[in-house]
Amino acid sequence: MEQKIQGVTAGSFKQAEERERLGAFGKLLRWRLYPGLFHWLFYIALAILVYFAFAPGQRGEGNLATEVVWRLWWPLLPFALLLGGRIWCGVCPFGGAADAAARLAGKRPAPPSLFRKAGPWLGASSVFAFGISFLALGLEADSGATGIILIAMTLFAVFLSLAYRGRTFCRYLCPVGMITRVYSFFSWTRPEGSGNRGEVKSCPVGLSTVSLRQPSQCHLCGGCTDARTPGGITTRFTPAGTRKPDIREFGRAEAILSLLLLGLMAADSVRMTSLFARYQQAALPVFGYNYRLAVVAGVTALTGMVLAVQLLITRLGAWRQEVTPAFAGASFALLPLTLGVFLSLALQHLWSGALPSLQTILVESRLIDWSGHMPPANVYFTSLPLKAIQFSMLGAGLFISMKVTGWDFGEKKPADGSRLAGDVRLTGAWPRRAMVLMAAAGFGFLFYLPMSGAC
Amino acid sequence: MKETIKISFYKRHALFSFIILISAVIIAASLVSGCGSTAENDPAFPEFVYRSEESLKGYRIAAASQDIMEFVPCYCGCKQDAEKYRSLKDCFYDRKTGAFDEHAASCTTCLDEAMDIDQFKKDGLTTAQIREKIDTKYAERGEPTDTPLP
Repeated sequence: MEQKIQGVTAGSFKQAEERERLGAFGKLLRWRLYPGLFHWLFYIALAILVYFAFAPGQRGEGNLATEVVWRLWWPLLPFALLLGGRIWCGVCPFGGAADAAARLAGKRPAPPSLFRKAGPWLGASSVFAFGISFLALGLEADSGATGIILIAMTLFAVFLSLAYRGRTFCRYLCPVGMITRVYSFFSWTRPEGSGNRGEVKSCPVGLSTVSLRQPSQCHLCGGCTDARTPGGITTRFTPAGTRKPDIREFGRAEAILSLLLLGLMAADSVRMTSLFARYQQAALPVFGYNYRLAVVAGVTALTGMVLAVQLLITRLGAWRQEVTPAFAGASFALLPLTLGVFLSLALQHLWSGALPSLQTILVESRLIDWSGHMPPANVYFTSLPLKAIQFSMLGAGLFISMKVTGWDFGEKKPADGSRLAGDVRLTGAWPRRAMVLMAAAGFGFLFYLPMSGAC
Repeated sequence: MKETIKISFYKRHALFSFIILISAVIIAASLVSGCGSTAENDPAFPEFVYRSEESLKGYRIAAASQDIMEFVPCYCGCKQDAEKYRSLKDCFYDRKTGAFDEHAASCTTCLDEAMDIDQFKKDGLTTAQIREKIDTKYAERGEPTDTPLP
């Protein structure tokens, strides 16, 4: 009897100690309402947004769906990513719908080999298609297209979960999932295995919650955690740029994705400056006065140029050696810089888009009285506090990128196993540093220019 | 032998990725090529007009509907500078010089009004009817400029 009491007491103490160790984020994952409560809130939000996307008389800009999705959620995503890693994937309504469909379908077969073998390539392609559509179609001003994307993503997530095991859509096809995955390497919150399997037998994305060797794949869905029993994943605060991925986590597809993101960020940055207007003025006659085609051509050319420069510089750096590790290493080193750019652009979008949009919505809902405002006389403006924050973020990204360039990704090992003395001076960090510094200088120049402000 | 298999596997994937990427670009390009705005007879617009597709559309409408815009008020708050802005036309054209004004290129309200005017014009409404429709729709947005009735 005494032993039992002692056992219970010791067990309770252990659990209390465990909870204490988890921190706020770990406790959130073990909260019994997580992620269900968030899923329901986002289902309701999704339904409202889809309704407004197709509501009659609602134009793109000023439409609740486009305002919330592109001027609020999208700029807030990189901040959530920096602080909480893939927390959005945990609470995402598409992921929630996929989980619900998987529960409904019961035992399903594993995704076909196409998904498993070409998964990262499919993801990289979906990110590029999504990015180019965002820039060319002007999704932030197109409520109908926004509504179609929301519905299509929900349907894809549900149908793929009905057909195959787990979150197939989220794991292989979701562009947002791919973006959060590569940037989660530099998040301050890192999931890790607790050494205990936890509550579920199989993770929706097929990870081992005991060891969690590929934390960037974890969706933080909380499926393996429970408040009553220790186990599943835990989270740990980690300063950015302290974890080197292995080649299974960051291979060639992820390296290409990192460069595609760099190209897309560069295109988005250019779009905010007068350089874009100048380009369009010159390009429109060439592309038959088709505005969107000229954008597609410009973004593709810019992204292609980034890929070509990276390939050339890596080829030179890893002369007569295996290129893939050097290429992956250089691409990985660019991620913190592009995350800094992502955050800076998000701030610009919040400043020039979200705040005025929120004001318009409040005025039209008659929640505030407004006698009108004067938009800036000039299309492009320079706000010194905003610029200071943007350059700080860019600088932080550059600092971490430069730190990462010093890591050994294995490119010093020639493919044939031999060591070529003449090549040693050409290997190491310099190609990555050159690429990072070039990219930083390019973004520094773009951020120095006045950027557009919306009404 | 193992090495050979490994290399061909990687090559296949590189090819696959290339096909996927090219397909994505072609799909995106063909998606947009049919629905982009086209106009070969544009006036010589200044650079800022090209900052967005909406802005270009708005200025094209302004160039074609100056006579209507003269009698339509601006609702974005231009009333605060009543000397410079007396109607929606002044948001697109400088009153004094007659050159294109930069204001509307970054103003959602002005561009929205231009799009509506274009739609109402296509629907066959008269200038007076367009004015009435705009007044009804944008009354909530802010104070209108002091614009004469048609």
